[in-house]
Amino acid sequence: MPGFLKSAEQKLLLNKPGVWSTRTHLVLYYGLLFIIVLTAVCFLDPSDLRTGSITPVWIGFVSVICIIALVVWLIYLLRFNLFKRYGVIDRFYTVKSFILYFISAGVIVLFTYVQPAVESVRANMAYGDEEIVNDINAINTKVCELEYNSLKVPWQYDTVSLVQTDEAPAVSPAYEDAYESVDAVPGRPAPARHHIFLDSAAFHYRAVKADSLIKLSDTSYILYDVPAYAFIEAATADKRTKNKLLSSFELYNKIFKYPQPTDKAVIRKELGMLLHKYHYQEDLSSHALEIYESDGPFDIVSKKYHLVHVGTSVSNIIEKKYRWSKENLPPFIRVFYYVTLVITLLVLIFRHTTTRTFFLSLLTGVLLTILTALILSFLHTADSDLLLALVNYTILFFAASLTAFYIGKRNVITGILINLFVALAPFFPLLIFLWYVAWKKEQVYKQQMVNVYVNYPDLEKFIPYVEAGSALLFIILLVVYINKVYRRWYSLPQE
Amino acid sequence: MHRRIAEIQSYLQHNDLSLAVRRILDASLDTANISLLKESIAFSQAYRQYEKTAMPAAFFESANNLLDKINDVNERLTSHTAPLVAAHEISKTYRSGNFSLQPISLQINTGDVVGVVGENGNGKTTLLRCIAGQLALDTGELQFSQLQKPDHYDIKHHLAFIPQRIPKWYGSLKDNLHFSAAIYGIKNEENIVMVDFMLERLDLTPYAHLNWSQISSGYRTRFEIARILLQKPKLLILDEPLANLDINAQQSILTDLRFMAKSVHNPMGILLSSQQLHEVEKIADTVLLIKNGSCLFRTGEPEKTTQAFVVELETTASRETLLNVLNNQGELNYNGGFYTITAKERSAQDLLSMLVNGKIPITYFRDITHSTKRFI
Repeated sequence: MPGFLKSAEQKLLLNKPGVWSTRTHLVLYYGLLFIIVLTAVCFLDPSDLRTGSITPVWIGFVSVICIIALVVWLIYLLRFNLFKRYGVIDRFYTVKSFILYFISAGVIVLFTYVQPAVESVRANMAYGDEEIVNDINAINTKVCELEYNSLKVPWQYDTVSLVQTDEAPAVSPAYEDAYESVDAVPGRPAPARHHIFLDSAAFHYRAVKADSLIKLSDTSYILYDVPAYAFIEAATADKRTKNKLLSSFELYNKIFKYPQPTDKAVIRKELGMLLHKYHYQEDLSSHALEIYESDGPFDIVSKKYHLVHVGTSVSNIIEKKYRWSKENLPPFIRVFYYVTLVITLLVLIFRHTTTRTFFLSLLTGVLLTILTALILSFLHTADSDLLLALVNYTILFFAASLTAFYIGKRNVITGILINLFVALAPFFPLLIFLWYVAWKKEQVYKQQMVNVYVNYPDLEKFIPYVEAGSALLFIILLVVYINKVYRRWYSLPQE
Repeated sequence: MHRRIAEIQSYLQHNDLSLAVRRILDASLDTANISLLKESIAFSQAYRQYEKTAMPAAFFESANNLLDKINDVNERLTSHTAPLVAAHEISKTYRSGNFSLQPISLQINTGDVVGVVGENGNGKTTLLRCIAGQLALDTGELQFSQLQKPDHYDIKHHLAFIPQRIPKWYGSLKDNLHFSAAIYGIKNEENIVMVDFMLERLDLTPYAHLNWSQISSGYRTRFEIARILLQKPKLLILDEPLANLDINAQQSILTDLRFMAKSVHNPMGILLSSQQLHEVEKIADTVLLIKNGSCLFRTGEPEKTTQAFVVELETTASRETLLNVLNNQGELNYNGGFYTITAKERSAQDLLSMLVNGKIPITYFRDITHSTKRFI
């Protein structure tokens, strides 16, 4: 242990025994040290950025280290307990302990985020945002220019008849089939893929996606789709760039609508350099192999330039680059928050209850979950009923935990009920909100079943606020209720 | 000069150095002066250095200097008694129904040492755990005079219970002592000094760096006492504290407890259970004898002891010889180890004279007229 940490350790032991006993200072120091080492190791990782991410393997490996770290922390943590020794505590003791446990558990959980973060940094350092968009556009353009003759094919089209909702399903099976690939061949008339029947909503959706539309009558349309000239696609690559990815339609306009004279030798050389930059041979997925085995003109071109490999590499790079983008971040934060929260709650409960009561609480929780799931499945209930059951359990456990203030003896059942309340309390507002969302969805669904078009309210956007509110409410509960109920229950005389 | 200082000087003069050092530590603690406490710790450490050799004159000089300084603040050296806990007719029956503690009343003041004696399985531990707030009472109540509207946490903070089987500690012993002091509000430098003091006071300094598995059960008991004393409890409850101690340690722990109870720094009440009747009786203000869950006798109840004088003795003489010497003036019983003589007319002193005059070879003699021993 370095000198400064030793001195901090001694100062905390003598002056802040509550903080010292959580060992957060040690977890922070050694945890951050490990994160630094892990970061360095991840930077030295020789794996190519164009290959599929090996993050799951890393997470599996680091999770084992996390479990070991957690066990070591718990061994040190469980040695000293101010609360169980009836030391001097104030009303903020429980909340302070909770926050310190959360920080400690959070540092340990954070280990699993190091490799994905480093991989993302490496991808961003190696490939610029604009660079990758420009390269994709350049590859698609140059391939089209080089293969002009074989790729200049007629557009495909669907004939669409508009029907009432009750005459046909909202989305007819034929519409689904329309996605089947029917390759056009140069020199032949454009193939008509299908005659499909759509209601107004499905038609609107389909029309927006079409590259061209001809109205035959009030209820009949021809919808044209430009051939897939964008061999390399990366939907999220241009979200933050000035230059945007060229769609197949734009490529058609640029290359095929008004063809320009080109120096194919120069283009071939430039394309070769670009393909070399992104091409990385690795095992392809079965889907990619399927495309390789077909013999349409687009597949032949794709095979000729190894575009499936290049596309996969580009996708891999983009997936690594934008892993932490605003839209991808919430799931990462949620996994971090909830995993840390669950560990913290288990530690908090263990530190405020007897060992026997703690394990009996775990057992009760498991049995109650199984029982509830069985009952709900036998009754064929909806999603909202499970959430409602959890809300009711929380209220029930809270009411039962109040009995700790009226009983004269410490009994296991009250302890279990307090523990279960503490375990559910951080989720209580969220459970209510999710129940409301599920219930609202069911209402909308029921109305749609009787042909009433109802706008589904976008309530999910409020979930982060509810989660923040849940955390805040739990903190308040720790101060005003949970610390008191544990203090009361734990110090009661036994039977 | 204060009486306590004079006593310590007398110990020094008569070379009762170990006792003198311990009393100097106690007296310096009672001054509540950190620098004096540090000096006395250093003095005690010096004593341990010289313990196996001849004491240099400098040792006595520093002892006298220290005593002079302590004497200057001697107004703090007097303790006062105050009510601590009163148990009124408390009783307890276990749910299994196999044992009942019959209603018992008890009053403990600061400075009191109350002993509970009795055979195994007769309710000593149950009584102690009831008073410690560990077991719910069936009847009766406990009143803690120094606490206003206490909850159970306050009560458990106020008192300390040392069970017979001390739960295992983890981590270094010294860390545990620092932690115990800190959670009871002893912070910073005071914490360091108090831990050093307690280590010195209970002769534990050489073992401070060890952990639980490296020390014997006797030292575990001492460490537990040190840990608890650092928490400055108002009431200290010890269940069979002598069980793991050797004879010398039993004696020294009991006398230390006696002094600690009357400490000015932290006067407290002590309630302890033990099988060692005589040792406990020597230091306790009151001793309760528990038999089959009832309080059969407590010292200071003359109506139960004035009916007859009782002595116990160990001798190589035969029963017939003893009966001849007693000449029908006492009833003689033998339990395989000791003879017990019960006499209505003759006092213990008279009985001893008769035995000596009768030329009975006595290897052990004890007057148990007022002892709990006579009821066992």
